[in-house]
Amino acid sequence: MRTFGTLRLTEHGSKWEMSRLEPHVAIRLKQLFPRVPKQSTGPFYFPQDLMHAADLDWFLSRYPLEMSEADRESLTGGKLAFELQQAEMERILLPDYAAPPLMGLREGQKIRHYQVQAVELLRRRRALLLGDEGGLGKTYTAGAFLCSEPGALPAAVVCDPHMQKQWKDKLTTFTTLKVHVIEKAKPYDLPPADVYVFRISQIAGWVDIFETGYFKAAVYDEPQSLRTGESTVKGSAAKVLSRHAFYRLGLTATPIYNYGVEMWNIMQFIDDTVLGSYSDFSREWVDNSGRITDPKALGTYLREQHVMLRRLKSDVGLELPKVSRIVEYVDYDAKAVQSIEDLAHRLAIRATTGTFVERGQAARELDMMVRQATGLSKARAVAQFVRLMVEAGESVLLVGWHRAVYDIWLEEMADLRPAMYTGSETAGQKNREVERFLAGDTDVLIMSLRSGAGLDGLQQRCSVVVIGELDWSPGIHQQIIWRLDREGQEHPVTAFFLVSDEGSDPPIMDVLGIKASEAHQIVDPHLGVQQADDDTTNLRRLVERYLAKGKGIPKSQAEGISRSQQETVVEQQALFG
Amino acid sequence: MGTWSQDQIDNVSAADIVRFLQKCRLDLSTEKHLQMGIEQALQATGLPFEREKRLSDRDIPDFFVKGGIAIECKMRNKARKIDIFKQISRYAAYPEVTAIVLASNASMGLPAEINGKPVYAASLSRGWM
Repeated sequence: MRTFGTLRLTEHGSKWEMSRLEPHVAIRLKQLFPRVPKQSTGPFYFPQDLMHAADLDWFLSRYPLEMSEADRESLTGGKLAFELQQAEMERILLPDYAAPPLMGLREGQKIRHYQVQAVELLRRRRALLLGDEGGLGKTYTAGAFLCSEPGALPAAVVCDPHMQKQWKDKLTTFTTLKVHVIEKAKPYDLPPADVYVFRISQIAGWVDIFETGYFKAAVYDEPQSLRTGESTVKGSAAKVLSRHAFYRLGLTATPIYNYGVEMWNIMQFIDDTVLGSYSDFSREWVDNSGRITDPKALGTYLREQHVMLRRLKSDVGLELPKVSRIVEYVDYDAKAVQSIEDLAHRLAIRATTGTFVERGQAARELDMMVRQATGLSKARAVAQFVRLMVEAGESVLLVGWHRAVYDIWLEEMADLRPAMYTGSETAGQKNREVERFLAGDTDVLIMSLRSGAGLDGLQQRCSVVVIGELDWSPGIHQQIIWRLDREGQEHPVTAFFLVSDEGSDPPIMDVLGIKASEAHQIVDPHLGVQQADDDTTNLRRLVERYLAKGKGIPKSQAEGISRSQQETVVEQQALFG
Repeated sequence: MGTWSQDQIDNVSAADIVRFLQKCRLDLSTEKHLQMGIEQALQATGLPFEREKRLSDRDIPDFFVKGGIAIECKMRNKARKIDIFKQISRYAAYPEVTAIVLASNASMGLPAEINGKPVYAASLSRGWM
């Protein structure tokens, strides 16, 4: 048989080396495998894993290469194992898959079919990014896996600080697992338990314990906090944990917070073989400006590797009330920002005339200032909007970012005594403030944009969220909306984005659109063009209810409300109605 | 996404198109993907339209909807705003054009009318909020 080069296993069987390829075959190889560097003349290297065994086997059927008997067997074996594995995974994902019963759940607790599918997939794949839409019970899926797989214990759960308690509560009510909440960022004598729950900020101190391989499974709750990769302290500690854990599970409905390349960083902690080295990944997927060339293709690839599993609420027949997202333009209060804009003005001059270093710094400060100024300029109108909702009988989740903006909100709504869940409160204070809101002591919960991922329970108390300041990351907005749009919600959820058409909001919205579009194509590659629900019936109903109360609008508030509420509604009716 | 009623189609206005496009979550990775998305979305409504309507060799709006509404797609940071403005100003000079919709993910100020033809900006970022 004519051969076109050689193929052999090298480096203790960890890599395939392809060498002495005839030039025309090398050209075809580079066309077919974008991960092969275009400028290289060989030898070319491929990881020794099942997927590459299958791909190489296919390439060899067209261009046979010379190889030893043992290597040939290894390649064929890998290809067969790949096919078996694919078949097995696909079988698990079939709707009529009959799952084996799970052990370890508390009496009376049930696991849903789609959750079992994820459990079984993880048991076989050993690495999974579970991307189920918010509210589908990812924590329970993780719990079901841990209690039914003895080889996964003891397990380490890594989560955000405010989620430690919720993990313990959920795992202990749902399963018979013993849970210990890690108290310090330094190792101490661990009490016997099955699951240890770490805050992400604690893991760096425990790296020596991770190194011993004590934890058999690593569960990352919202692993997008590791999107900055291994270069950070928490990232390098997580990498050690992942390397020594037999099972690795990531739980997030929004793996990408900003641009699609973050997916590579996340995968380093789940399965670092699927996307290859960063240079392989860039060659294969990324364009010159750092954007993913074909985000849909990347999303499809991750699904086909069964390393990412994502179901939407509609996929699993979970019918929740719908979510409307309404963008409302509110007044830009020029007076509120005058002083800060003076400063911004000076910075702007420095940003254009300063030295290079000064320019960069001034531009960053300017960006922060403009964003804060935008928040401040809207703050009164936003507070008024929230008051209107509350007086119409709604409880409201109000979201912002800057301390100075919260101060205005607190002042404007002092009589409503809002509960606070922001960066200024400790984990304990946050829990108490949430309790206060849930108990009905106040109708307003002010939450920081980046404080709430995973928080459960608010959906029983409220269905209106007002986003009073924008985040640069669309994933954050989605996380916030999922606090309300989750199981237990009985009313249609309305999310109001209160934006201004001046200041930093318009460019932030532009960037949000680009990021959200890219992330969406990766995470849900097959959905096609969707339509946002911007149904304003709920808004109109609330305004009517407010007006029906005969309160009228105090003169001092007339401006903010008339612009943001009535006129806008009328305008919308005139323009769009 | 559903088909529009005959009544909606008969009385379609530029504002309807703007409202519709602002609700759509379109792929903003490239201008080609964006145009494919808009085409797909328009087809789903049942609204009659033409792709790449040749007003002249130079002026070819991306979409031309029943009633003379020209839709031009523009990606952020891919064209200068002044060039976009000049381009749609030229469109406004053609008698068959009755209104212009700029479908873009860049925030851009536009006059309400050019040459007596109403001009609208549909913010494609809005649907993604």
